[in-house]
Amino acid sequence: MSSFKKRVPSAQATLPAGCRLSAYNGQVLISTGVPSLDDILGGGLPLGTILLIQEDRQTSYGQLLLKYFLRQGIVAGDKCLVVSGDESPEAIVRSLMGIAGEESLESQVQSGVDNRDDEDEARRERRKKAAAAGGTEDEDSEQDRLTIAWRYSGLKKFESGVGARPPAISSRVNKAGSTTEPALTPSQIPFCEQFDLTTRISAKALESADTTLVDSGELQKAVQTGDSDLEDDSDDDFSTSGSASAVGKNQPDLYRNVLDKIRETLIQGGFSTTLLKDPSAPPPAPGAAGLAERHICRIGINSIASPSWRSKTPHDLYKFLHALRGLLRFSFGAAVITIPAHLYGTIDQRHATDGSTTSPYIHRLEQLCDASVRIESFAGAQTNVSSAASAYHGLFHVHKVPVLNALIPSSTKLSVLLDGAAKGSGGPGQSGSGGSSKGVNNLGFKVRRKRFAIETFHLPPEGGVGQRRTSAEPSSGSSSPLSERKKSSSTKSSNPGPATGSFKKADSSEEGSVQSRARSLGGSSFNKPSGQVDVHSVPGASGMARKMMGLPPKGIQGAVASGCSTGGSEAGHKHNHGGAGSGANSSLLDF
Amino acid sequence: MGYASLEPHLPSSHAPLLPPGTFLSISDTQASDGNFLLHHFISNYLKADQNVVLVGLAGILVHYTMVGRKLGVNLATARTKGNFQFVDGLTQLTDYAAPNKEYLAKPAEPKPSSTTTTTTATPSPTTTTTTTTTTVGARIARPAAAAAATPPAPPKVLSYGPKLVDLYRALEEIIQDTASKTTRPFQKQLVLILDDLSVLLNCGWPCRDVLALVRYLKLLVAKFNGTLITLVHADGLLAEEVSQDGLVKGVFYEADYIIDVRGLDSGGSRDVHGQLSLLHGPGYLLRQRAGQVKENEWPALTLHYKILDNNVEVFAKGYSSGVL
Repeated sequence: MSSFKKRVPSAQATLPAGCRLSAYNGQVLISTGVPSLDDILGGGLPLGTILLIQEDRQTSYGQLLLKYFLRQGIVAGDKCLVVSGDESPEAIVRSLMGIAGEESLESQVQSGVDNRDDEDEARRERRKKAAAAGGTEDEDSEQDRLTIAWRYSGLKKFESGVGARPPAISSRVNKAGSTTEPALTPSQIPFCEQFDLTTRISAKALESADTTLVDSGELQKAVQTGDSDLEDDSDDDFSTSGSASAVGKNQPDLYRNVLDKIRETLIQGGFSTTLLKDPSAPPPAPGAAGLAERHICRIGINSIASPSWRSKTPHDLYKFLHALRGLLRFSFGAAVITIPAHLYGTIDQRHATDGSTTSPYIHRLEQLCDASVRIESFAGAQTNVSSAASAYHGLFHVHKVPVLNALIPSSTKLSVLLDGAAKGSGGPGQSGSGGSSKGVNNLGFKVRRKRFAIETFHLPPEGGVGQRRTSAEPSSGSSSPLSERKKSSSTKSSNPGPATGSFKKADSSEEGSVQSRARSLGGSSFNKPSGQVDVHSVPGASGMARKMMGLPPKGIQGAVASGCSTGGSEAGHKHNHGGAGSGANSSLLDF
Repeated sequence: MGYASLEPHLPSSHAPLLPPGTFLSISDTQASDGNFLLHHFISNYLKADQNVVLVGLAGILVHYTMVGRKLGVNLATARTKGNFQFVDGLTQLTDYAAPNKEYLAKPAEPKPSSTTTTTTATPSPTTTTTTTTTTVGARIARPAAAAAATPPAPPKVLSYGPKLVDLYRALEEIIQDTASKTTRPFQKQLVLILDDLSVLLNCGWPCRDVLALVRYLKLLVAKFNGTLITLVHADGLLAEEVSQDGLVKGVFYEADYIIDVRGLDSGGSRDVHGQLSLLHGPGYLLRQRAGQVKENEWPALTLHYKILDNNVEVFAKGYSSGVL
C-alpha cells in the first residue's frame, strides 16, 4: 500500500513557515529536527501537542533530541521558549548544533560534496569489503551484483532507517553566494533541516533567534524567598487581581510559575488563538493575520521533575501538563519535554530491559501527554546488551503516539519505522505480558558523528562483515585441498566436464562445492568463541534476545551471509556459509 | 450509526441506545485507547436525535467534530440544534489554568461587577469568532449581518473550583439547560459522557471526591431519563497506586455495564488491536435480581476489535480477518 501522497504546493503556501500538513488527517505538523522521529510521530509533531521524552541514564541523548527540536525552530524562525533547571537555558541554546554544509561552505570550498555520515559509512564499508575480497576499486559496482542468488538482486535494499531528503546544497550555495542575510520565504524554509553535530550554531543564527529563556532554578529561588518579583512577571495591565491570581500568589510553586511564563509568552507573541493580549480590545478577525506570517512557539523543557524542580505534591506536575495541554491545543505551539524518568522507577523496574520500566508516576504523566518516547542508552544499561549490538547506541521505545482528530494515530498509516504497528503505541505491556513489541518494530538509535538517527533495530551479521570475509579468504587462496574436494563433488554431478565447461554446469558444481567447503571449514574457522548471539534461537526465545531481534535483514547490500550457527559442530546445517566462489564476490543470502 | 459490528453486543432493550438510568463505565489502557467507544455512543445518540452532553476533560471539541464527521455525524449542526453540548474541561480545569480566563476575549463580562458597560455599548463587529467564552449569561450585541452566519455558541467551560461540587453544579446547570430546551423533556433520552475521569484524579482531587461526583452525576442523569458514560484509565501498572486503583474499582462498583478495553495478552497484532470485555456491573446484577432486565439482555463476553479509518470492527475471538 502506498500511503505516500505528494503534497500540493498550494496547500503549503498557506501554512506557517516550516510546517506541513499531515497526509493522513490534515493536521499541521512541525518537525522535531530528526527525520526518523518525525516519521515515528506520523510525519511530524502536530501543533498543539506535547511530546514527552523519557531520558536515558548517564548519557544525554534525550537532551540531544530537545536540542534538535529547538534548532529546527530557530531555522524556521519560530519562537523558542527554553525552560531548564539543571543546566542553564543559555548553555543549552549556545550548544545547539549547526546546519550541515553551512560551515564547510564558509570555510573551504566543497561545493556539491555531500558528506553525509551514511554515505561515508557505506563507502567505507564497501571499500573494506573490496579490500577483503582482494579486489580493486572498480569492483565496487561488481560488488552489488549477485551471481548466485541472483533472484534476490531484484528485491529492494534493506533499509533500517528513514532517509532524509538530500540537502539542497545547490540552493544553499546560492544563498551563501548572495547576501546570506535575507530570510527565506516561508515556503523555502525546509520542513526538516539537516544538522551537523560536529558544528555549533553560528553566532548569527543565535542573534536572529527568537528565544525566551526561563531558568527554573532562578524561578525556584524566587519562589522560595517569596520574592515579589513574580508579580512583575504576571501581566498586570488588567488590574484584575482576580481570585485565581491571588491564590497563585499565596501558594507559590514552581510549576505554576513556569506555566505562567509559558502562558505569557504564548499570549504576548500572539500564538494563542483564544487567549488575547488585550481581552478588552476587539480581537483581530480570524483571517486577518495570514497563516503564512504566523510563527510557531516551540516550548522545550529540559529535565522536568528532576530533583531541582521541587514540588509539594506530585499532582503539581500533572496539573501543569494538563493545563499546558489546554493552552497548547488552542495555540500555534508545541512542546517537547524531557524527564529523567529513571529517577522515578523502583529498583527492579529501572534495571529491567523490557518495556515495563515505566513507573506509575511516569505512566500517569504519559496519560496527560500526547506522545511519549523513551530512550534507553546502552551506556547506561546495567546489562551488557551493548556487546550484541555495537552498531547502536541504545534502544528507542515508543510508548505513545499522538492520536488527534482521528480514531487511529496517523503514524500507523504513515510511519515507515513503526511499520506493522497494530496500534501505533507500542507501550509497555501489562505487567503480565512479556513482549513490549505490540507488533511494532523494535527501534534503536545511532549517534553518528554528525547526526542522530533512529532505525529499526536488528542484530548485525554474526561476527561482523570483516570477520566473515577474512575467514572466507583462505578458502579461495589455498585451493589445493579444496580443489580436490571440488573435483570429488563435481564428479558426483551428472556431467563431469572440465572446469571450463558451460557456465550453468560450472555453477551447479560450484554451489555444491561451496556447501561442502563451508561445512568443512566450519569446524576450523567458524568456531571462534566470539560471544555471538545465536540468531536462530531468537525468534522462539523470549525476553531480551527477542527484543534485540529486529527484522531479519531482507537483503544486505554486498555479500553477507547472516550467520546462523555459531559452531561448525552443527554439521547438518543446511545453510550455506558465505564463501567466495572463484571470481564471484558475492556469497549467498541467507534467510 | 456507530460501529455496526459492535451494536449486537450492546444491551438490546433500548438498542441502539443504552437503557436510561444506567451507568456504563469504560476502562482502557494506554496501549489500547478506549476513546473510540465514546465516539460510538455519541454518534448513536445523535443519530437517534437524543441529547448528548460531552465533557471533554482530555479531548477538545475539534477532535470529536472531526471524528464525528468520519462517522457521519455533524456535531456542529447538532450543537446549533441544541442536541449536543460540549463542555470544555481542559482549558480551565485546574487552578494552574484558571488565569486563562483573564485573557479570553470577552465583549461582555459575565461577572456581576460590570464596570465595562462602555465597551459593550460600542458594537464590536467581531463577536463571531469561535473563541471559548463563558457565555452563560452573556448578552452579546451581535450585528445583524453576523447573526445570519452565527456559528454555534462556543462551548461552555468548566472553570476551576477548589471542590468538585463546583464542577457538579456546573454540569447540573448544563444538563438542566439541555433538557429544558427539548419540547417534551421526558421523551428524549440524554447521555452524559465524561471522556477521562483519570484527569480529575491526576489534577489533584481525591479519589473519594471523584467517586462522589460519579455517583451524584449518575443520580442526576437518571432524573433526566439519561445514561452516564465515563472513561477511566485502568492500566495494570497503575494498580499499585491506592488512589488510582480505588477509582477504578469504585467506578466499576457504581456501574451497570462495564466495557474493559485492553491490549491482547499475547502482544500486538496487525489484525487485532485489542480486546473488549463486556462485563456486568453490580448495578446490572441488582436489576437482574429485581427482575428489571430480561434474561440474556446482555451476555457478558470478550471480543476482539480492530480500529479502521472510520469504523471499528468487533468480532469474536479468533475471527479476525487475519485468521479467516
